[in-house]
Amino acid sequence: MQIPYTTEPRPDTGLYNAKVGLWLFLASEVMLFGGMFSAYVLLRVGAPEGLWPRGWLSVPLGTLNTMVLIASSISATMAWAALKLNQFPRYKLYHGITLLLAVLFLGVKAFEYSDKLSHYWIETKSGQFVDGHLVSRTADKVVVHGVQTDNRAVLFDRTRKEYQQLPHTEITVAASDIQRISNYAPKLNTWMGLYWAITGLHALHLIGGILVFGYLWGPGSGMWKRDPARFTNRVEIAGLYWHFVDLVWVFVFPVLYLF
Amino acid sequence: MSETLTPAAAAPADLHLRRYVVVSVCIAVAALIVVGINRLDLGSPRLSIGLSLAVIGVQAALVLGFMMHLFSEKRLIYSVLGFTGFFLAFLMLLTIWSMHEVPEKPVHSQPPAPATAP
Repeated sequence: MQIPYTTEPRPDTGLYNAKVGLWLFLASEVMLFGGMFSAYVLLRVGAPEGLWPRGWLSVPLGTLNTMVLIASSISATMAWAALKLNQFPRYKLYHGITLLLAVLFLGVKAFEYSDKLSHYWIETKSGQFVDGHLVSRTADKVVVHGVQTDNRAVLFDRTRKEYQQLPHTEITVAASDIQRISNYAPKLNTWMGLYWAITGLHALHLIGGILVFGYLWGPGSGMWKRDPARFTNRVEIAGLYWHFVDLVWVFVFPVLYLF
Repeated sequence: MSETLTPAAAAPADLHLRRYVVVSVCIAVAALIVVGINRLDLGSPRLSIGLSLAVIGVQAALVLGFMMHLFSEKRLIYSVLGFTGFFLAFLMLLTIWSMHEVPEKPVHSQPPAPATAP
């Protein structure tokens, strides 16, 4: 049975079916990420004064990833335009670039995640707050390279001079003195929970996009010979999805990295 | 992406491609402006966030309008997005309304209830 309206527009909508389906999917995605952002806003305004993390993420890394995603967005558009111009080799080139940029984005994200998982927050029974990257951990003691203070608020806003003036040294904490220890996993605090949930969901969308682009670049590209118009529409739909992933990052980046 | 590019229309296609590149550069510059606004000390966090949100709004409009071709889409898509926008706005309004319900002292910072005798 022939699937209707894969290339020609449906008379009542004026669009081919896949495009309508993709926009409906994107509408549901808006609500999904909208729920995440509304949760962020609610928890942000409900947080005690001075105890909402700021400057906990690397702005240069976030900016790099923003540029990578914008570049991948333009290459995805170029790939579609190349098909419209019957330039299949150029399509392969541009879609290959999109794939590489998507993998690069995930690579940077993986680096950031691994950095967070090796970053520890320690509260001692003597009222000290120790924050830094793990050097070693035994049954008797924990050694981190970072900072130490008795003012918890200083560790929350790392854009302030008070934090930047703290000396970064190797700090040893006796296991018997530890009241609480956690790496920068979702369990650390509400902000880290939101960070992992929002960026993790976004990364899952990237992985989905990579799978689709990989298929269209590799085995799925055979359709170009059989049904070029339909294949071009598939690439267009994948591109729309990719631009949406880019759009979400446009909001995620300032909210988590800058504000 | 409902525009039609054909080999016969190579010149317009080139113009389209140039437009995508220009729009992408604008989006990238806007991202850098947002970073700059937040790196500079404007004296008020509200001003920084307000300015940033304005630039982010422009960025989002560029992505939606040009990259996703929303400026030249069919009416059905506008309807779908109109409904979505309504429900998203309602979701955010719920959040804003519930801000008045936030207790003065956060639940986490309240002292634990005293133990009662069995």
